[in-house]
Amino acid sequence: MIFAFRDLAFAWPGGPEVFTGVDLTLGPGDRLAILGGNGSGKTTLGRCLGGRLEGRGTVTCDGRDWRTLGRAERVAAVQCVAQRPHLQLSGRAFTVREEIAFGPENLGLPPAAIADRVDEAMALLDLAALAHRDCRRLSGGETQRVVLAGALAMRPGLLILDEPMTDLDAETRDRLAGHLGALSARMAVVVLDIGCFDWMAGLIGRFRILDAGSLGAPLTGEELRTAPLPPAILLPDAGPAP
Amino acid sequence: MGPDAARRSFHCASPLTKLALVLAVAAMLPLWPAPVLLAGLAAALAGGFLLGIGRILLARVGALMVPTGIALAIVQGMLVPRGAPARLGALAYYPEGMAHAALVFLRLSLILAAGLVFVMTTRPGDLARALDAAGLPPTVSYLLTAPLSMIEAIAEEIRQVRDSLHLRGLRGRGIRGRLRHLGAMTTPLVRNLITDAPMRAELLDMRGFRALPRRSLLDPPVESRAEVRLRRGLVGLALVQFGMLLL
Amino acid sequence: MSPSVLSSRALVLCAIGIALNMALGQAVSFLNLPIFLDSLGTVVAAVLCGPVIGGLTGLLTNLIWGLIQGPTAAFFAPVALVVGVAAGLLARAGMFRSWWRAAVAGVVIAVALSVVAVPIRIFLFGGVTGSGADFAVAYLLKVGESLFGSVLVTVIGSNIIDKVATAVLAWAILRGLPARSLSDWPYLGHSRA
Repeated sequence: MIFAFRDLAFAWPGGPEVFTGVDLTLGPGDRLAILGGNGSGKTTLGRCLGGRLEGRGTVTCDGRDWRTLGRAERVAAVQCVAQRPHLQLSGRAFTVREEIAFGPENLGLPPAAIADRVDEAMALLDLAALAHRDCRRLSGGETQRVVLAGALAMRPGLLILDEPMTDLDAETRDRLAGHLGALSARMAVVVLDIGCFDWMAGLIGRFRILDAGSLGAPLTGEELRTAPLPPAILLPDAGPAP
Repeated sequence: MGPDAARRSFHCASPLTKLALVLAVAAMLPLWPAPVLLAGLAAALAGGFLLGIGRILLARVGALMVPTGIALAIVQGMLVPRGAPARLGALAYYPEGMAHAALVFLRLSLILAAGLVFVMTTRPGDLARALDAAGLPPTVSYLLTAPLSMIEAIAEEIRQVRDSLHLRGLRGRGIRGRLRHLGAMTTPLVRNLITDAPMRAELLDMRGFRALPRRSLLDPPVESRAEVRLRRGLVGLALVQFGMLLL
Repeated sequence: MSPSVLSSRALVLCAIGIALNMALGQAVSFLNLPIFLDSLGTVVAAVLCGPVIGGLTGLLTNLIWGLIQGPTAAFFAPVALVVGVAAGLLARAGMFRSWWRAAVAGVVIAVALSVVAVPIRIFLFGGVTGSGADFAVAYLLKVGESLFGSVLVTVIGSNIIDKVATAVLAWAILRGLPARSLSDWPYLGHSRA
């Protein structure tokens, strides 16, 4: 799927614009990180990219206007993993397997197709051992993986991850980064974060900076290290590997 | 069918079939005289023993119904005037009132026993799945399971706040102190839940909640034709009894 | 019913309200106050989203209790429904704008629920509950009150403190919500001065 965002802008009712003039094209295999400091509006931008908030501008998915898509088509096209994973648990499931199946079940798919997607997502995120665990009694990292599996089971064309590694310990982070590296090449992935971190190395192809309401030009990892950056953006001491 | 087979098939039965049975029993209550209700109660308790939950069932029915029965006998049989009074030694009572108390007692005992058999053999999650499979709107199964999935986290948070208040020695300082304690326990918890609710809803929508009027299931329950027919029969029985009540 | 009344946000709030009712009802018993708080979630949902969601929250709380504990709670589901509907209507009338108004709202809720609870207790339960409240009913009958009057006085008496405390607590909780909550919960505007 090809997603095209043209001249996207958003303002809360009665407030100033959070961002303006965002142009972005995302296709299969794209791995983009949008970096912005706290309060830069990247979460809001993520919600707009995910079609969860409607701003100004045009959004098309494979040439079709986003607004003409039905709800089931939208959720099959874009999935997000938000910052606090436990808020993303459906409340409709009592086991990890059921939780991952929640989305595909909502699409009215036949049971065999649902099982196929659930098993694939669980295998990718190494969740088979947790399949029958109570999904409300998992650690933060496990919950994050279950939520990510729930999003992947929708087989979206675009996956948006909002600060996916916050609150995870180093080991869990490396493991999750490994899983992210194995994501399907048919999918575009956008990561929103407050800085460039080690785990992004080898994973992210392009970086763009969100600052003062506008999105900067695409940078490679190498360019990011030498480019002048707003102070709110964090860079690791070693810098990202190219 | 032997007792083992009966037990297995009842435990495996759809929650909706069991619910239809409870409905048929509920429809009996206003219609039938005490002997029929007593027979029904005996059948329900016997069914409980057949299912291997007899002792707990009996204990729970007893725990609720013994005090209720005593109160009914006193209130309806001795205090509310009904018909001609009679004497039993030093005690004055109303025979008609006692009969009425017995009828109410049997009604309550029967529906309690039937309801407890349902409750003790059915998990809410299975009921939710059965409702989804029956094609009800996803809203129904969500409202049934989502509260249950949140209770534990909420209860845990309340426990933590309570313990920390205890540590600070806030217990037992008169009514005012305890009321303040109550506010401290609930206010931050409820505010956080309310503040997070819009985000929960947005993420629920993103996962396709109510994207279609019906949802399918990963492991849909399988039902025999005989069970579907039995369920329809039970609902029919309930409707006939409600109809007889109107005549 | 219009989709906006049963928006996902309102349904999530309803689920939260039910969970709160069920969790709080058990948690506050240690305080030894005549307060059960098992309808705080209902009142909060009603003030935030109106009488439909409030009523639904109350109704479903008791039905789900019925699914877990046995049918007694389910019989009183109409009572819990009335609590939510009454709280929603009182909120629309501005009765959650100050603490003393909320206290009055609690009294009104207690009276409104009695209108439904008393017939259920008399016709379904013969006027008794198998709890300590039965002593009050028996006493009032003994001093010459009718069964209806005895049960009515008992129901109002055992509910009024709880409902006033619940309503005032709901007011205190909602008053402290940040200003942007108003855009999330427009119905809350009825409760802002």
